[in-house]
Amino acid sequence: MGIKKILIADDDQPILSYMQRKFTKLGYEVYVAGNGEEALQQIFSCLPDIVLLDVKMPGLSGIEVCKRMRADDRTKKTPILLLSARAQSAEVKEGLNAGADKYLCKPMSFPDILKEIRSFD
Amino acid sequence: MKSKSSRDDEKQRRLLQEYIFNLEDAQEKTEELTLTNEKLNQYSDHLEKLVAARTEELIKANKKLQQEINERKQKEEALRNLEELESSILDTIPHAVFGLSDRNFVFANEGVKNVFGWKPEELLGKSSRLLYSSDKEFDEADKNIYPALEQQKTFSKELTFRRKDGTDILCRINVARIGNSITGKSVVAICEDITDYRQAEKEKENLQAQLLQAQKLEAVGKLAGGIAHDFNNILGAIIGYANIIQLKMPADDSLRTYVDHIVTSSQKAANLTKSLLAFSRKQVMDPKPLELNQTISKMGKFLSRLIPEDVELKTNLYTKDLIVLADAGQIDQVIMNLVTNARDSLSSGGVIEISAGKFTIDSEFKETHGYGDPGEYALISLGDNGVGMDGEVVKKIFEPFFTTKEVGKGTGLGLSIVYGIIKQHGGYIEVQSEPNRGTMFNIYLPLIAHKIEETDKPKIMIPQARGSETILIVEDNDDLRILLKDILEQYGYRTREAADGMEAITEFYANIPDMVILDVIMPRKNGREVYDEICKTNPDMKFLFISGYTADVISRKGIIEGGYDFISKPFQPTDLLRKVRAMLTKTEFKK
Repeated sequence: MGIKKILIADDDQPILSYMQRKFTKLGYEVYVAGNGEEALQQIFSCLPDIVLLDVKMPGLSGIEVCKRMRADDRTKKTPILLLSARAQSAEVKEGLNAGADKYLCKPMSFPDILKEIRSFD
Repeated sequence: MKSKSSRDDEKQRRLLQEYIFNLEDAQEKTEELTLTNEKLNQYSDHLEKLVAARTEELIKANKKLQQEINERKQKEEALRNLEELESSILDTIPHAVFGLSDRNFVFANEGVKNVFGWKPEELLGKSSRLLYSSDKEFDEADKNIYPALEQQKTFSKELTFRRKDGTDILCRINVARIGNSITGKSVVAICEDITDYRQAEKEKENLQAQLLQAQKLEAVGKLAGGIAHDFNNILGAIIGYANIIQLKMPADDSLRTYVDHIVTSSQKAANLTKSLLAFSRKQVMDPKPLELNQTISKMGKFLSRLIPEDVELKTNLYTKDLIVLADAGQIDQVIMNLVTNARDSLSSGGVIEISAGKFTIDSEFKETHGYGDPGEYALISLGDNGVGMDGEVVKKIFEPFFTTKEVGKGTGLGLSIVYGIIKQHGGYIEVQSEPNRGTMFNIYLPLIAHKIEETDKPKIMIPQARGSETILIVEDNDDLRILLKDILEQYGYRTREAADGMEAITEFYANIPDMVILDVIMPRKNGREVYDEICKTNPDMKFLFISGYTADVISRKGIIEGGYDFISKPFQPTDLLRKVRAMLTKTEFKK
């Protein structure tokens, strides 16, 4: 399995902890962050195999994190999935432009999210 | 700028996302719970099975345990039965069986009650000192028994013990140590009271001695009796012929004194023979009812003349009549012989006492004395306080020719005669004597239920008259036959002779006599047969039987029963003549 380390960032605590629990249970090495700065810090310190980012977070948004990751050589090619309640096509376009590999619109069931993650394997 | 609708959409999506996740979570938890539940159910099943298995094991184990308990109970029961059996075996033993440890009782059977008078429970835990009369005896036993048990397993000894009631008993004690060595003085003992056994043994020895004595006397008696019979015939001839010489000889003949000597000496010899016959119980007996009190008082007067002044004669009569069937002359002889002996033992004075009484011989008497048919007896006791006799002498006093008197003073037949006479009367005699204390004879004569009639009148003396009748003399002994013939012819009788039974018959019928004198024992036909044959044709014929044998021998041979006229050899010619005359006269009266 190529993907081992996952970083998840979301400011909605119940969602974050649910996914952390689910992925851990499935055997993944899970890192979590409640905002953009924290997410970036973790990403550069532990270099996850894939990143699942909420777009709307206090401080740095998911779009911004995505841009900075692409600007850094270490994370230039790390798959990034954006997960957002913003489902306007302009918003989707902005995300993909920022360098995200996929833009997922909430609500998503966990099996569907897992399916998306595994598609990068 | 965002529109309101896009913000609402965003908010809705966010809520939905949370909702979906919550739903998923709930669902997952439900699944997990279901799973857990199943697992719980499975586990519960597993537990149930486990419990069932365990329960089964427990039941098995329980069963096994119960079985073991039962087996143990059975074994305990068997053990108890065995203990009971052992205990009853012990109690069945009539002797005392007990265990001692350091000389204290650890167990005792019921037998200790019989032997020692103690109950088993009274002895347990106590010292065996209880069984001894003194500390000394107790220590003595200790020294005797325990060292011996170091060498050997068992030890046996006769010891005297004391019963609870204080009496001493002789016991045979067998002791066995418990284990291989005598540690702690642990022993088992069995104790048998042999006091009675010893006593019985002594009595048995006594009885055997008495029996031996009686047998010896019997044998000597037979021998003496046999000789005496032949002697009687010889003496009969000597006395008879001497009497004839005396009768024919002039009164002043110079030889008369010699003939007189022959007669007196022969007479003495005849008396001696008579004594022997009396001892051997072959004396002619004339038993009649006799009252012994009378006999003793009558004898007393006569005896007082026999004894010196310094000897006192006491007679104690019985208050009632003591009637026995006896020959008066013989009883007189018994008393006289005993008194004479008593007198001789009282050389320096003393007392002779004759007592009469009644005595019942029972089975106990027989057991202790070895003789005595149960019944009522007259007891005559004749005692003196003279020199007495020791045991050895007492054993022999009834033997013929045994005497302690100086040569010439006693014949040694006195007590033999007494013995013979008493035996012949169906009685018993016993003697007790102690040196320097005196002697006591007890005579038992069987009592009869009979009243004395006035038959004791003096006999009418028939004059020694002459006769002229014809008498047939049947006698196989030539000397005696000729003597009879001579005597009878001297007094005028006519005689004919026959030497045996056959000849007697021929002679009788050739010329029938007035009377027949008939010897009882003869060759060819004996006296009885001759008598029977003649009686068939001449039932009134008079017979006078003569014999050297006494009445008991004769009747045993089936020849003569009571009621016949009889005269025994040796006889005095005057007795013969008187008897013959009396018989012929009686016949004449009849006619």
